[in-house]
Amino acid sequence: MSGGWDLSVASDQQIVAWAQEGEESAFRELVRRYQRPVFSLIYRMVRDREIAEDLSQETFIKVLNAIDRYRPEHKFSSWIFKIANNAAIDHLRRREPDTLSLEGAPDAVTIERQEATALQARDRTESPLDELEARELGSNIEAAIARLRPEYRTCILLRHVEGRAYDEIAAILGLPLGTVKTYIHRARAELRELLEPLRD
Amino acid sequence: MRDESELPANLDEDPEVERALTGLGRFSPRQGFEDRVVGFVRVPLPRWLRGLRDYVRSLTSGVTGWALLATFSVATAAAWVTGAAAAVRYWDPISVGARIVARSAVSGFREALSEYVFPAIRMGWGEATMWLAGLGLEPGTVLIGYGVVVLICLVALRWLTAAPARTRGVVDATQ
Repeated sequence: MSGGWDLSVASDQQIVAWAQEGEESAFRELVRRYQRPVFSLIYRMVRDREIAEDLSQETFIKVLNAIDRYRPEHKFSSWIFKIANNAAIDHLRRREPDTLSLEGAPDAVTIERQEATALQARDRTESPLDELEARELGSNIEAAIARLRPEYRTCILLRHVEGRAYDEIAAILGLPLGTVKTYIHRARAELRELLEPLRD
Repeated sequence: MRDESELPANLDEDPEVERALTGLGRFSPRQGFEDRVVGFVRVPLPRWLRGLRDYVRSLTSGVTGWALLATFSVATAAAWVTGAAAAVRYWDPISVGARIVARSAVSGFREALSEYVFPAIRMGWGEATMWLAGLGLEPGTVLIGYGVVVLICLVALRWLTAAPARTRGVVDATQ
């Protein structure tokens, strides 16, 4: 409760207004409401629990520190998902060059130099945290989603896990509605293809 | 990209894919996530305080601000000059009064030292020497013993305060 208001039944807009008034409990309510949706989206995008948690934290800090600039004519959920998705996509872009250097740097001519510059493949069963990740993301559908292009992945997750409308997904990703429909259509088709061999 | 904006999104529904997608759940971050986030958030000032701040800012900006600043500067300068003039004019009584206050403070401090502090130290030292003599110990020897113990404690303290940093480093490396 905040000054006699029941935060748990209030709308996002109302809670944001209270947060703009300097009510700390309103900030906490926003985190409580969106921590699982934001974390789930980022986790399925980056597939690493530690990184997902860091990126989720960054997302919330960015959004809540800019709460004064929030305009109520937009949905709060669209705003936070947009920032979360951008954080995940930026991370994937930054990480991409690393995945190309498993054999060592291109200019490495000696064996020693190749070994020194090569990335070590991670043993995913090494720590309990990795085992947990493998269990959480190890189902066929999760593996299939992981193989989708990032933009398809975001669309399908926002649609099916978060139950967002097409126009809201379009607003989150800054894409035309038709493109979102196309992405979801193609993502489903790819998922069907990827899951086909696993059917008995 | 081919324009498929008119394409109904559910046309290609595959029951198995739909079922698998519907079964996807949400994940939770580690416990304490909320506290960690809120710890980094700058909670804005309450509206009334922001209003007051904005009002003060509006007063101190533009022509009004310059006028206020000028008034404040003149008033401060006037206060300093008046104070200095009064000090020059009434220097004799002020200096006499200040000397009296300083002397009484110094003499009071001296009295407190000679009447209470030094006798208490002397009495305590005498009692302790007698007690140590009763135990067959020399006060000098006991003082050296204390010195050794203090030295050992300092070394132990230094070692203990350095130890956790090394331990944290090991834990981080294995994570």
